[in-house]
Amino acid sequence: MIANSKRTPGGSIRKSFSGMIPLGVHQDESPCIELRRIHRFFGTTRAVQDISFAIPKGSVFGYIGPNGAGKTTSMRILATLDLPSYGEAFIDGLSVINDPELVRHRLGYMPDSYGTYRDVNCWEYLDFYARAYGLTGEERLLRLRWVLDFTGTRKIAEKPIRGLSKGMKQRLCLGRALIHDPSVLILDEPAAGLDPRARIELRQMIGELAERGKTIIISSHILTELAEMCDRVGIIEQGRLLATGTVDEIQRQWAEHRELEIRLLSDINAAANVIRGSEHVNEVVVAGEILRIEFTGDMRSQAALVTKLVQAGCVVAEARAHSKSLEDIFLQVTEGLVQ
Amino acid sequence: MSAVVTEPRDANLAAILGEAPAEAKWLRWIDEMATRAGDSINPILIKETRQALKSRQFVVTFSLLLFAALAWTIAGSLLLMPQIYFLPSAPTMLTGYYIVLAVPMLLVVPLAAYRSLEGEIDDGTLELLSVTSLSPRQIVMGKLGSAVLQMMLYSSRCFPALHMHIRCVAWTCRR
Repeated sequence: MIANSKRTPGGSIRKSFSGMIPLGVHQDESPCIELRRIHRFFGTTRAVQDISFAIPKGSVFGYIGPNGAGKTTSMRILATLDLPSYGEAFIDGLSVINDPELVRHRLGYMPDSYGTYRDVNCWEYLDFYARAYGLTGEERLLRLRWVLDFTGTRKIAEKPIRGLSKGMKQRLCLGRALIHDPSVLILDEPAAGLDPRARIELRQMIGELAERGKTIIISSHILTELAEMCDRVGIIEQGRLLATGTVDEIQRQWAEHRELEIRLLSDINAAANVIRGSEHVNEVVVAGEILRIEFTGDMRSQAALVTKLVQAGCVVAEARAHSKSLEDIFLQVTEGLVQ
Repeated sequence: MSAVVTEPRDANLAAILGEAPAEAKWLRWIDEMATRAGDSINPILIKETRQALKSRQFVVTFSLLLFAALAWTIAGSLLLMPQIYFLPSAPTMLTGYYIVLAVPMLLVVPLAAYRSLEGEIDDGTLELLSVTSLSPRQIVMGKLGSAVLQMMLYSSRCFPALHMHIRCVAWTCRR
């Protein structure tokens, strides 16, 4: 049902703030973004092969993969800029294939290029996109004011875009993606080329948007950043989704071996001999007073190993298992292959 | 003591930045009407015109056109002397103005419009436009509209020269 709709110069039907379905936030509990068996072929190149995942409302989903893995292709399909060869994708329950116009009102897309114009200042740029999304009168002014405040670009509103730093351009482009208050944000490499401060600020802004209920899909090569800001991640290589879930879930799923570090106060070589040959132990390395053990067992076997050391008379000062970082998981899951 | 001079701002920007609106009631009314009128105009036309009027190419072409039109007024008038007092000079003079105008009309504006469309593809902004509510027709029509508007502005540059020519002839005839 379309309530309080009006035709705007942008040429489409847009619901007003008092309409039945506000645009800014996904309403029900169904997945806000959903890909179902998406395939995309370019001739003989299989850019995307059988990718399926769902992202709930208010989540930040990190999309990780080497260059040429198919991240941008699948993001472009979600952004209605490309059609899949097979499969379906949904934004807010609307098909990107059958209802692209309605989907466009619900999503903000930020590609890896800035996409700015020459001889235009910041507010003119945002004003143009506000008009292009069909915002008029007071509503446009309110959105522009909010975006300038949120992205911290109010002070540079009258400055030409040409003279802005990368960080400021990125803020402006995020502002452009937010100008029509979308419920879904698709950010392709937003942190590329930014200095640490700009990256931290971008991370804070993304966090704030997720708190406001926006669903965000973000691709990046800076995995430490993604691990901090994402609720879930998807690892893609050669067009195939290799793993998806929270960092912990993927870690558990792919944790074939872990590294145990045991600090000993007694003879370390004797302890190494006790451990060597034990079940689930692949390799034992002595580094000063620390014993590094490559281990394939679960938590119970890990406890049994420490008990064995203690029973053998070794003085164990500290024992800890290294949890794998997103980078470690990424390296483990992917093989560095490109198409 | 020097007075602080503030640059006049766009009414929309002033509203966005939370600045006080124009004092006079009639000015506020004009602001509102202009905003309403602006809302019904193709956004591409607004953006392209803003961009074009700020570009170096426009400033240079506009200045050269003015200079060329004035130069032709003087040169044409001198060339037509002394017949200018008793024979119609308009056909020759207007032909000169048409030639002067032909350069921006046939070369500069179409090339600028082409470059603008090509720039959208090269800079990746066409993709950003395609995820907005704008239709391909609106994008093309907006760009063409901006080109027509620029042509009208260039044409208007010949009017002062034309006026000067007529006044000079009339003044010398009276003498």
